[in-house]
Amino acid sequence: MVATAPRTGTASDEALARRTLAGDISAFEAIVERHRLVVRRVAARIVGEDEADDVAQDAFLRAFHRVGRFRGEASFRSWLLRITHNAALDALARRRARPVDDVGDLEDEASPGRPRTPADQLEERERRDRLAAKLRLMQPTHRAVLVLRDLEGLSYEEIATITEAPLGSVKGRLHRARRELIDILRANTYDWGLPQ
Amino acid sequence: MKRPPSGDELSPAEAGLVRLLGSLESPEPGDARLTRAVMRTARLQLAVRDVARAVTLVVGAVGEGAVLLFGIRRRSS
Repeated sequence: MVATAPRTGTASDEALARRTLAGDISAFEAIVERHRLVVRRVAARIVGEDEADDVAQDAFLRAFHRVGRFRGEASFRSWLLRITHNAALDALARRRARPVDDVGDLEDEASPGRPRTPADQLEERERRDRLAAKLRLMQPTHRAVLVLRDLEGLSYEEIATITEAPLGSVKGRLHRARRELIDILRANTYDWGLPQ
Repeated sequence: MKRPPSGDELSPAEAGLVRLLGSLESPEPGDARLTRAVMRTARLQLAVRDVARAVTLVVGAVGEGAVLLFGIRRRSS
């Protein structure tokens, strides 16, 4: 009887990585399809929507060419998110010279193409847009750890793997990241309702 | 988007911040175009790599052939 490889839909990430390394490009396609949502989401949170697709694509291509370096010491997802995190920080470093979007512009972004919504929904949307813009004002390394913990809900251990930092450093960095964002929000006249 | 994590010891301000962050909308999910774009580029890069390897092999073989040929001629002259 001839043994057949499991279908890509049921195969583990590690098995797909091995098959990719052996030259089975369809196995890598299954990896991309399986992880594209989380990779793109993390990329978008760190670099913004405009560059999210480019960073996600860059991350997957880096993973494709480095799949032989995956040792299985951490989960494949952690390894892939580490590459995504690095690709996102690289993208931010490349555009460091460019000015950061400020939230002051939000009043002018009244979404003229969108259908009119009730005032409270509009205000809520504007509030979320303001918060997203404030997030982009943070230091990139702080923003990354905040995204991974407070938005993606990852464990400290996984964040340590992704950011290649010791566990204690991750906790300290997260604490500083939250303080930084709180300070940014408090420096704004907009009322965020944050307790002292 | 995942729920904000629990279990952290948070100050009231940090807890308020985590709640605020929970109100953020998920970024656009993206679609299969990302997969297609990645695979198209990966296949192209593989093809370029294969061609580059083939060219390197040919150039190497020509070089070795030339060395061999000129070496023989030099010895015979």
